[in-house]
Amino acid sequence: MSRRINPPHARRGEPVVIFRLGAYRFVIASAEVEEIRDLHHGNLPSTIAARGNGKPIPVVAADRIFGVESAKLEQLLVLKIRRVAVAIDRIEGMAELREIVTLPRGFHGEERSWYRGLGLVRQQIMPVVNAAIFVESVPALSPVPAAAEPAKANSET
Amino acid sequence: MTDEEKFVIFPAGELHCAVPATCVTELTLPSEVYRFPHTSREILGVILRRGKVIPLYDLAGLLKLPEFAPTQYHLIAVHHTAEGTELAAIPVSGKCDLVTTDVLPAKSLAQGVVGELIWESRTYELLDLDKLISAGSTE
Repeated sequence: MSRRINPPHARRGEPVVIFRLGAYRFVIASAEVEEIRDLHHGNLPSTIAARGNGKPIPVVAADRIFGVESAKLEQLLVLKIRRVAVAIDRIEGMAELREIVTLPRGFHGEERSWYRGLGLVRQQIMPVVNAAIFVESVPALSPVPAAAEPAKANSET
Repeated sequence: MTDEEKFVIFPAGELHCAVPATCVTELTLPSEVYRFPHTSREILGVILRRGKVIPLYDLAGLLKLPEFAPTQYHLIAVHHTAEGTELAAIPVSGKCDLVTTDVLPAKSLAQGVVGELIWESRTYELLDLDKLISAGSTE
């Protein structure tokens, strides 16, 4: 039977960032997000410069990872520990993840590594993204960084 | 009479199907289907029922039928996997009924069709949901 569980890494009341990609909404733990930047001119850089030391941070396009047709990649989620920037359509807000449920076993494909589980957020079920998959996608989806391009910081979490 | 001889019969688009009543836990009005990217093609999305997240399977796709007319019910059944059991939902496109009848050998060669029922002059394909879903997930 489907079971409600709270894995050790999914705390009750965990703050999450809700973001949109194409027709879908996702959430990611806000603890994973260092900052949010706007993408300008519709160009997706291969890297961006880290704040402070200016080191290049690789950029991955979330729509390619999830196989989603994106309307327009407008923002970047710069992840905190994992040092990768993820291009998304846009942030839709923040919320508190009250509960996370493991993905039903019927799901047997790549989604098992894409998501930590499913979260009930604002009366809707949204997949809770596993931030590690973005790091794993860097060599496969990003070109070799040539030069870091600046992107304007929008807000911080 | 045993439980094994009771079946839930239902229309699935142009086909008429049956499943053992013992595997059916609930028949509900369609609730919101939450969709998100995944690669398990036999699953349409998930529904939330009594606090549980239940995958909704694409019965038309599993049976290689054209897409159904609007779903009238969600049939929720117990699905056995290698790792255990969990609930599974399938869309049903019309009225369901609980019947008691004999099982005849399957004429269909489709995977997951394990027998045939005759009820009120109509033929119903008896489905083994576990086999049907398993076959769909390995294609």
